[in-house]
Amino acid sequence: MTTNNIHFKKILTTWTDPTFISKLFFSFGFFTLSLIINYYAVRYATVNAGEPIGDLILNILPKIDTTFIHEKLASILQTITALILVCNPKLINFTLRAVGVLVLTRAVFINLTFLGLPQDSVPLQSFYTYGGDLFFSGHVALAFMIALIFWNIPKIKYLYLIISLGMGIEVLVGHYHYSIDVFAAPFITYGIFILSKKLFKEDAYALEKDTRELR
Amino acid sequence: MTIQTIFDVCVSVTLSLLLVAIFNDDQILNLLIILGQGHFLISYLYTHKAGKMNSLFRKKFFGLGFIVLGICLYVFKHQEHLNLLAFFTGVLFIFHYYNDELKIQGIKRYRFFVLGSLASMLAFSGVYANKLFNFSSPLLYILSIASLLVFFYFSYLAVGIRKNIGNNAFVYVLFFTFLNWAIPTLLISIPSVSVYQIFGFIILFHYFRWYIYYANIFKDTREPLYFYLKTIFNIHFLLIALYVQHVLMKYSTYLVFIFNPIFFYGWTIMHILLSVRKNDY
Repeated sequence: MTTNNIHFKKILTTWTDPTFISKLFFSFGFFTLSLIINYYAVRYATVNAGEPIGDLILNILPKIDTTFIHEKLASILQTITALILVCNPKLINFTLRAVGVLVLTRAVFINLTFLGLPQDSVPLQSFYTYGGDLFFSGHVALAFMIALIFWNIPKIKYLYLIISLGMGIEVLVGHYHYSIDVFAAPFITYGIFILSKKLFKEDAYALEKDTRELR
Repeated sequence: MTIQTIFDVCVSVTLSLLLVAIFNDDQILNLLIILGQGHFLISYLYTHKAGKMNSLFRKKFFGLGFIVLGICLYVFKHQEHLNLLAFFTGVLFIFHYYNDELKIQGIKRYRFFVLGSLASMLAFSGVYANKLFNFSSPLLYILSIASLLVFFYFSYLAVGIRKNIGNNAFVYVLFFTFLNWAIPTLLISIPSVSVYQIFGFIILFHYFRWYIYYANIFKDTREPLYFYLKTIFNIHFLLIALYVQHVLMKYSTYLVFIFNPIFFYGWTIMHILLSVRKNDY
């Protein structure tokens, strides 16, 4: 049996394991719940947003319309991430839970201080964002979190590190975020990743074991 | 009929009546969809656990899925046929719920039991036609009389096997089939009862009967009971969260294939046709 066949068989075995499926229901539910809480949090933050404040980098960078990257490319990346996870199902539970914790933490942070939207910012409004949800950048944080999850698989790690960096540049150039939102995101995300590993020990162990096997 | 059976049926009836009494029609429908999808998922999961999700099952699933999806998409575009789809699904469900109730009771099956499900389907088709289409022609009463005649013939045949199945099972089968004629016939003459309350009661009763049935099977076995209860919780936690997301995203995402009533009827038809047991006939 070839290596690919063995890997495919392992994927199929995981997807057909009733215990895994039962756990996945909870993880997906937790993740969806975090999105629902985020929905109300971003709207509350935007409604209460204060005045714009000065920013060293935004003052230098001219505003460029990056709507396509901010919206469409982000959706494409979500799909690619989902496909990667479908092919590595043992990582799904930890990923959904860690991302859920990230979203919940951000939902709290964006409402601790009511930052005003950056000058000349055109807020994009969707289920996930409403414009006034600033500190910290979700686009940067999410990509960095995926990079941390796949840290033991160099190709995926570097891909998402580049995406995270690219998102950071994009949101600054598009004047969607202040520079502190972007620069703080990786540090906060790392803290949430470590916290998630402690909260979800069993899934974190599976993450460590399986990403080393996949290397 | 044991004390356990009486208790289980009473709990199911009480919970179902309570839920249809406190919620309005739209809420009942949404509740049925959420609990229904949970019921289907648990059914597929345990079918898989029992090793029955073989190649034949998968072929049936996808083959049927294509046909049902086509029908649902057609009705989605031509919403004037929605009530017809609801009617067809509702009547087909009676066949499913009747046979499942006898299975839960552990009653030995005979071929002529299909007459019992036929009597039930005829009676319920009358009340559904009345409520869904405001149908009140004499045909309605002909359906009820036909149902009663089929019930009489069914009872005549059941007397012949009374000794084989035992008195308790005999009484339960007759009483249950009689109720399936009497209740829908009575409800035709109560205009204040809506079709969703009738759907709601029957379907919720069916769900609760199955949940309690499996809980009774697992109650003396720690690990399977724990897995079962955890899975029920996880599935419904997910479905409620997804439903809320569906509402917040203004019913415009892929979740419409799960929570829209038209597609839910499709999932129901699939579940019913895939859960037909050869041993029941």
